[in-house]
Amino acid sequence: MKGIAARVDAALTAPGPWYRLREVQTLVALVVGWRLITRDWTRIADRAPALTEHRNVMAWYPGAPPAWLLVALQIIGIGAVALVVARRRPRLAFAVAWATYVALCAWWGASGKVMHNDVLTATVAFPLLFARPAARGETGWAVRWGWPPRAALAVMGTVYFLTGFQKLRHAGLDWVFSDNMAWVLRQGAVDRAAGLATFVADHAWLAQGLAGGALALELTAPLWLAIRPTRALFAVAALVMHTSIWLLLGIDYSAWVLTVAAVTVPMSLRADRPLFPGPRSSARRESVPAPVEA
Amino acid sequence: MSTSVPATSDDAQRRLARRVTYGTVAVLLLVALSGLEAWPLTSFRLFSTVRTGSTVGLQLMAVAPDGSRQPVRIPADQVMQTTTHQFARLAHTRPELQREKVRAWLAAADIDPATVAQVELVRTSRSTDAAGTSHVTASTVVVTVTP
Repeated sequence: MKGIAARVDAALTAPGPWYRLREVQTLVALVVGWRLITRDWTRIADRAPALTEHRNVMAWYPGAPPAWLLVALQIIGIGAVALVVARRRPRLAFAVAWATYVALCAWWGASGKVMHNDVLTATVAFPLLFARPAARGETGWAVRWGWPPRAALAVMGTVYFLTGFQKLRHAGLDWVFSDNMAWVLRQGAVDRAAGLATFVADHAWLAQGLAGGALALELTAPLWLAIRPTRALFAVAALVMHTSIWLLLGIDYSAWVLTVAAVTVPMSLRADRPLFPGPRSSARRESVPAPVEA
Repeated sequence: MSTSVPATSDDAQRRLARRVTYGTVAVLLLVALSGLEAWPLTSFRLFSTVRTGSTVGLQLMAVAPDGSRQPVRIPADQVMQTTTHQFARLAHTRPELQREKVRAWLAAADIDPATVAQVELVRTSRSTDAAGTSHVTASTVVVTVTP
């Protein structure tokens, strides 16, 4: 056990190439930017103060925010994402983008129901707030560029594991080996997929297979994400799972899919291979110890 | 240009890496086990109950002075629709806030509170058969609010 912990710790804190942190930070920032752009955040202001329930990070703010404040935060957040992409003060810009995104999402969900649509993005981005990306002209390998993307993977694996763990904890194996999924589909299917949902619900082996596959993927996520060759496979599996949920039940987990891709795609490449062409010539390791990255 | 990073800086970064990574993972686990919900901290209970053919739903019904009734239809967008999760706590809310909330829901449903004598919160139990057809098995008024 101690050996495993030591190996995990060594893998986490090993040096990494300068471009990998930049790639992951930029892609996660783009997911944040896409969420900031594609929502009409002023809808929050249309919700009456009496219907606003603050059980979130913005609980300190009295009442419901006005539309002008929501638009201002949206513009600031999008501008910050642009600065991350342009590599202008990326550390500060990423923090501003994250803070505006978290504030807006907290208000968006301040209606009495816990919303999970954006929670993976907000949580996975958190360790990247502490990252010190390479300044212009800096290249090579360093511990400070190695650990943040791996921390993002660790947090992502934990989140997926917990979604599966809570199913086992509160429902047990009945979540898979009962009519649970069949009833989820019969009661929650959207009109566009009513026929497909009924077909799956009517075939117990298919419904239980879907439930079992989803639960297995969630519980084993940390393993998929720990090993470099299976990270891209996890991204594909997550895409299939979340897309089927959207298709059958109409629940939008696109931010989860994009966040998984933003982290796992660069992290599934060999450490000496940049995602984007350009920095390859300086990808060679210089004057630092060998990476332990899986 | 390439830089080599001093060992002391690497040591500091290793300490930071451990604090941030293990700290974040520990917080996520503790929050999940405690059941705390304070977004973005959440216990990650996504579809974590077992569904059966029986469901219970809550619905607001606007009752006009002449006794006619109409459902209070909340807009389908996520910001407003999710406020219906507050129905479950409406009966235990203080009367003035009950009234405020009900008036806000009426306004969201484009119903003039002046045309409504009472609003009933109705709990409806349904049973769904294997064909997906839903049957009402019981219906009770949980609370009545004068808007």
